[in-house]
Amino acid sequence: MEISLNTPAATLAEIGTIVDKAHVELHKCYQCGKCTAGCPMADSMDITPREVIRHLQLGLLAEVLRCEAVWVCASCHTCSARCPNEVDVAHLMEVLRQEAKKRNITPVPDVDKFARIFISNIRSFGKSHEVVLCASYNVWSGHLFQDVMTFPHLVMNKLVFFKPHVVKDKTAVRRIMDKALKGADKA
Amino acid sequence: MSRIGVFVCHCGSNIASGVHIDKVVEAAKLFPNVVYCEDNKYTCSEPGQFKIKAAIVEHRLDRVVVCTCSPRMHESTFRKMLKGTTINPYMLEVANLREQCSWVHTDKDKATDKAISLVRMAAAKVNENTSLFPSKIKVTKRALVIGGGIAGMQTALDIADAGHQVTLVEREPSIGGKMVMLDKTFPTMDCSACISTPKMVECSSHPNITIMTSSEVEKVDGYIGNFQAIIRQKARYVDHSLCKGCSDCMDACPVQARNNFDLGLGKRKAVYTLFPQAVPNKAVIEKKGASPCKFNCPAHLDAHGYMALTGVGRYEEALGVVRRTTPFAGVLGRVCFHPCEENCSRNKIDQPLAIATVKRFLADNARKSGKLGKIAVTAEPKDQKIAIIGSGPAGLNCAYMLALEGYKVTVFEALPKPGGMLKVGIPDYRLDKAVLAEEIKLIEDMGVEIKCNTRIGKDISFKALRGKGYKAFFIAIGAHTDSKLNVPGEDALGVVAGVDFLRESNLGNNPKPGKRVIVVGGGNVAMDAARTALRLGSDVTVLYRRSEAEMPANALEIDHAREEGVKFEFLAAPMEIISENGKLSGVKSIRNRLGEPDAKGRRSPVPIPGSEFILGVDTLIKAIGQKVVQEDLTAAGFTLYDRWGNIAANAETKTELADVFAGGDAQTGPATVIEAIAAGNKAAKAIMNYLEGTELPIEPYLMPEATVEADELKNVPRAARGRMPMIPIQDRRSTFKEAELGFDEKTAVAEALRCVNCAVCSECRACETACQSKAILREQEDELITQDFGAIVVTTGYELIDWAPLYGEYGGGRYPDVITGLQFERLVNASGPTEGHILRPSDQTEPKNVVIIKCVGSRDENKGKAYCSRACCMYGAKHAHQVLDKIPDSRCYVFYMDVRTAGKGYEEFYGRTREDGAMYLRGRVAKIYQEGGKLICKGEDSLLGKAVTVEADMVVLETAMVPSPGVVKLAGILGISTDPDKWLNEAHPKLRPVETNSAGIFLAGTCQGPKDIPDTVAQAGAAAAKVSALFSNDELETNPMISKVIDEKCSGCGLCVGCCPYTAISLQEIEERVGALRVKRLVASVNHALCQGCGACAGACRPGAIDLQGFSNRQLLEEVDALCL
Amino acid sequence: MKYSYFPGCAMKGAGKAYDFSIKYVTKKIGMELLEIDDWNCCGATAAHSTSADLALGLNARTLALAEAQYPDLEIAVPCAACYSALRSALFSARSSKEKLAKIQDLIEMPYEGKNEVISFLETFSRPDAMKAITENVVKPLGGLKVACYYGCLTSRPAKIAGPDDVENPMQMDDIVALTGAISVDWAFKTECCGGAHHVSYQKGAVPLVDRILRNAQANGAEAIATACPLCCLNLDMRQGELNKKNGTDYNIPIYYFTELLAMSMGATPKEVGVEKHFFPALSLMEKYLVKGGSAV
Repeated sequence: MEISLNTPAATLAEIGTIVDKAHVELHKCYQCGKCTAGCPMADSMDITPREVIRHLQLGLLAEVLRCEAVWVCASCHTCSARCPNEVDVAHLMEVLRQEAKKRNITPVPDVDKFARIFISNIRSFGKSHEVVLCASYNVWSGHLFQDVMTFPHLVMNKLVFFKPHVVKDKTAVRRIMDKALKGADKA
Repeated sequence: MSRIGVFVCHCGSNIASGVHIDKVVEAAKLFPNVVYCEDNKYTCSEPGQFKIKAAIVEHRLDRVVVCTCSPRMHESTFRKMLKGTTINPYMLEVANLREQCSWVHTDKDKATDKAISLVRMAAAKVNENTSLFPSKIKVTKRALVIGGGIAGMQTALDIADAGHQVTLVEREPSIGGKMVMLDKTFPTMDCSACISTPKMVECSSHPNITIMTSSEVEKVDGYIGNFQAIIRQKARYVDHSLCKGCSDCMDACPVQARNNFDLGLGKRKAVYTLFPQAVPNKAVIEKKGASPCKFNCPAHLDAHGYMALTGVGRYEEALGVVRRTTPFAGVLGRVCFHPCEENCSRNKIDQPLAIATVKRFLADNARKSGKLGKIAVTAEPKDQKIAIIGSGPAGLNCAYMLALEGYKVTVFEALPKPGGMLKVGIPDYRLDKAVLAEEIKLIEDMGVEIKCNTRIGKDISFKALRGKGYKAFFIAIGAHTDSKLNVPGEDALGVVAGVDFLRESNLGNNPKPGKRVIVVGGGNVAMDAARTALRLGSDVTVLYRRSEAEMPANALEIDHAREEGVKFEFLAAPMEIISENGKLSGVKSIRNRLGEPDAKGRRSPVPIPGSEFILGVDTLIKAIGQKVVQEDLTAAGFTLYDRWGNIAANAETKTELADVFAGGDAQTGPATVIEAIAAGNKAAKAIMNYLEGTELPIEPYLMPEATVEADELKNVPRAARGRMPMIPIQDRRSTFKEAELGFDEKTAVAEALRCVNCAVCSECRACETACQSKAILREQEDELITQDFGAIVVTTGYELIDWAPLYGEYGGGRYPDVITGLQFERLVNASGPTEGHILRPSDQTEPKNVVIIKCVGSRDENKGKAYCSRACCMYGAKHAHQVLDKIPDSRCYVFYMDVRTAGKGYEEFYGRTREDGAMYLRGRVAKIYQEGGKLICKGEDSLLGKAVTVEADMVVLETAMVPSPGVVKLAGILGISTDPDKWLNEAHPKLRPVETNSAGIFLAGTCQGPKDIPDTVAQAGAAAAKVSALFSNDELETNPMISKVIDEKCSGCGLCVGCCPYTAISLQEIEERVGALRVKRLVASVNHALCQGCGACAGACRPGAIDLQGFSNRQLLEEVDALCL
Repeated sequence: MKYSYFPGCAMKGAGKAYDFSIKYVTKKIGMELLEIDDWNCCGATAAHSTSADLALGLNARTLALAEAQYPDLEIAVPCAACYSALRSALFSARSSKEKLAKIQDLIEMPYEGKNEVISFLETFSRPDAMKAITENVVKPLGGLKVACYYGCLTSRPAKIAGPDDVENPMQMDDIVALTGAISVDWAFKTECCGGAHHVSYQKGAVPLVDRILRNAQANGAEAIATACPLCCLNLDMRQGELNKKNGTDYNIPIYYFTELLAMSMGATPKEVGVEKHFFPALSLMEKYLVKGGSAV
């Protein structure tokens, strides 16, 4: 299908704010693909990190917000470290995730679910708690038996604790989280 | 009333689009003294200039303002124009309405206002202009070309062909530059050497060209037409007027040095020519100084020299190197405490070389193979007789040196056997006395007479010897008596001095120390005494008043003593010797603790009250220091001692008696064998100077220490120091057999090859022997040559960016098979390290899969340079072609961002390379890593949008060009500028590409920016043309816009003198009339030839006595007023 | 040698061996760790993927607590993820007055961004610590070939992570060398292990562990040393699986670099929880402890 490049000014403006948040100057990228080449997750991505940038250069925001790549990104920052033109790809990926969340676009639901659970975990304990975390993740995500084989080992070696340790001042932590998440999507 | 004409230029639309020209014209017409104003599309064009000339005539103008581009651009154009008119060329002002107005402002109305102000100022200034008249200076018609690469050679040839003299200065030992390193040149693929070496020859044979290799420009003064340059001719250590360019010296040199011409892919000798076709084809020696081993040896033995020769199995020569300094190779190899090893650079990465033990091997090996031989005396026999008192290492070495010079030497020895402390001090288990005897015999065979059992003061006296015709004396009687303990009961029977005890044992009078022996002291004599007593069957305890850390004895000696079973009582000192009826029975001692450090920084012992204890003992050996025996000398009529009781002599071994010299322990107090040998050698020199009335240096020739830093050694493979085999421990406890067995040949050679060649040249001097024409100048020094030049062309070229520290993801230099393009050129070059076969540096196998990566260090502002290096795309294609062409069934992958082939036949060449089968992949490699002997390259094919992996056998990085090292320093010397990347700035990117902003200094080639050979050669021609044009005049007009001093105002404070960067101002005396009388006073005066018109002095002059002509204070004030009032 | 200490959530769970060994080593070499009272989770990837402010707030709180409790101590952090999160917060606090004000307002606590945040690679690399370690090594792991694995967050983003080389860091190698083990030269020191994706995106994450193990094996490593509970867990947990699934023959026990230190200082494997690893790590240690021990 043919792509029109007569992107509406509004969209271009949106892209502008997004890349500014990530301190990225799109024009600097000359599409060498070093980011993709070094990306450990590239194989699992629908479009490569370079193509994410390319889409934005061409004003194709929607495509980027709905792509899986930005969610598959593991935030290892290898791309940013090696980019010849100082384009902070990793940071851009992160901002794009946040933007997509705002619009309730979550093309890789599991990753998002995990994040939500992780955060609610913190809301309730102030510290993250592996059992609750993984268990509830497995339930929510429907991967009921993921890594259950590891569980006995964890238990036998007391690598898990069932009485979660919690912060004393839970309310403080919650207030901070709520304030922070105002604007961003409530976890 | 002046008549000013104002001419406003549209500069096409450059000014017109940003400024309302008409408004400017209208405004200008109303300025004071402006009688005419007009505008013009292109004022600088022929018709434009014509209109100005016409206006001058028609309106009788006497000064002109041109409102146009920057004066940098066209001021000179309009000055030239005015030459043809009634107006002096300096009655001109240029108002810059382009660079400083239309180009930099967006608001046309505001820009117009600014333009009008600029014009008003110019008009006001020009009103105060005065006619100026340039003076003439003569031109030195000799050009200095800096850098002997293709650019430099071409420039030099073109200037020389125009009939002018050229001096071509090159830092390397040969001209040729980078181009001769290349194999083929794109796109025609003609052989780089075949087209560049003829140019080298042409340069060297051209009557007008003087080549100075191994040279650098140190300083440049003066100005266009009249530069003075100081050029440093670096020492080459070879007389090029004698060197025939045969390779005898190189064949003889034992050193394997890094071959920089092959970028480290191969080795070369320390004496070398840069490459086989070098011009001049003369050898040079790379000397970084004196290697630490030599430098730190008291006698400055050429340790590096004999190590290098041993490494290549030339043992006899190596032994010869030792014998230049001493015949005692075998002795020193055993007993020297080798400061050389303490200072060996290998300490910085693993363990020092076993230098002494290798020296021992040389002697032992010679003995075993019966090659100990005789030491030939080549010098003419001389008839002066010299007497040496004492046959220790100092005395014998002095005798040896004198004998080598042909003197008649007699050595007088009090003891029955010669050798001094070597014989009677050092026990047999450390030094097999047969070795000593043989090495002493070497000296006797040279004609030295040794008279034993002859004691000075008893059997001979100085007077008598002088009577016998002895012309000089060397006193080297050593220090053979002990220092006293100064405790009660010291004289008891059974208390003996260490030196006496050892002497008895060493002379074979095997003493019987009894069961319990206590040795007092912590020095080497104490250790020798203890280990000797142990071997005589005693149970030995060493009593030392400090802790082990403070023991002066050599650490190895202490370890050996302990291994053999010697016991130690540290921090204990004897207080009283207890004896029953005159016979020693015990020693009362006290415990110490360590107090404050003394002057030498050694913590002094402090007795702990009440800690006394008694040890039973049969023999107590005092070994707390030795002293010189004075009685004999005094008896012989010599009485000059210092306050320590040593013989008083200066550093040159001279005593107050002109014909008497002294050295060794006798002069310094107890010291080491090697120090004694050094003293002996010095004495020999001093005596010769005395006898011959010469003033030769006493110390051997020595360059500054060549230190090597640890990081320079980080790629040196680690290798453990050779292990010293020893006889079984039980033999060591019970016999006097030599404990250490020394190295076998294999170990010795391996050890010698661990040498990292700190100074590169080992000073073995094999080349001196090998050179038929005696061209080696071992002690040559740098030379400074001053010469006048009329013009300078800089052609210093480029080097490749040091990629390793920048690209960790490419292995950061840890993978030998990841190489640069230039290294590839050497690999594929017939005269390269692999004779043109492309082989992996790691294992010398032929790579089948080769990856080429472009833009490494270029187009990468994050890690390298932002710019495009311009030639890489093409030589990348060339390398791909060469791989596919030279390696059957090979594959070549080229990773690129863009392929830039702007050039005649370039795109076609790129096409052919693809036709050859090169696989071009659009993307940057993100990581290279090693797995199973393969280099895995991870990239993206951005056209496919997929990550790709290539398993390569070799990777070639096409790295960015950067300016050659030192260019910034040179720019400073020449007063020319560089850009942020340190490329030299041309005067104008389009119109003056080979000129700099300093008149008379030109650029050509890659010093100005990355470019390929054709462009470089073209620039070289252009630069040569500029120089020839300059040289076509005998005289030059000087810039008349220079400083002028108004004597009446000048107070002679001299402030201007200091602030003038061109040293053009000096204070000179003038005479003037004050009332009736004439007085003399100092005023500033400006040298017109030197002044560059910078105006610094005018600014600095407080009374305002200096005016910069054309920018007089008056003119500037008028400008300011015009703007502000 | 005194630091305020942020253990992080994992140290109480899967990271026990790390916790034990750090305690053991710091005790031995006289390094004092004062745990920050009432610290909270750093939020890890989940937080900063959700909202920059969330990550900022969570970490700023902990930093503020530390600043209040131990005003003049640096904050030592064992977990790479926590380290990175805390440091980014510290950096934005230091980036501008406005930012700092915003943070103070967010956490409603006084905070000035005073105290430095450092990893245990850093604390142990400092001269005094190196010296103390050397002095305490009694059972050198003579010749054990270790691949030091740093992971992403101790080395990237460069300006957050601190001094060491991004592609080929050496801090851990230098520390491990003190134990008598030999650190091998390999290429995956700072390659990503997949991090949290091992829970939420396994199919993509597992191959990353495979690549890392392959390169370690190819370069002759007998063991891998890590400085992060998550890295350790991922490499450890997946190794057996991979062997089963792909028929690979990886046999590279995963340790925390502090376990190696502890054992070379005479700790028994059990004391530091070596047996707690998924992939059997005990026997290799025992083998070398004998070797090394006798070598002294």
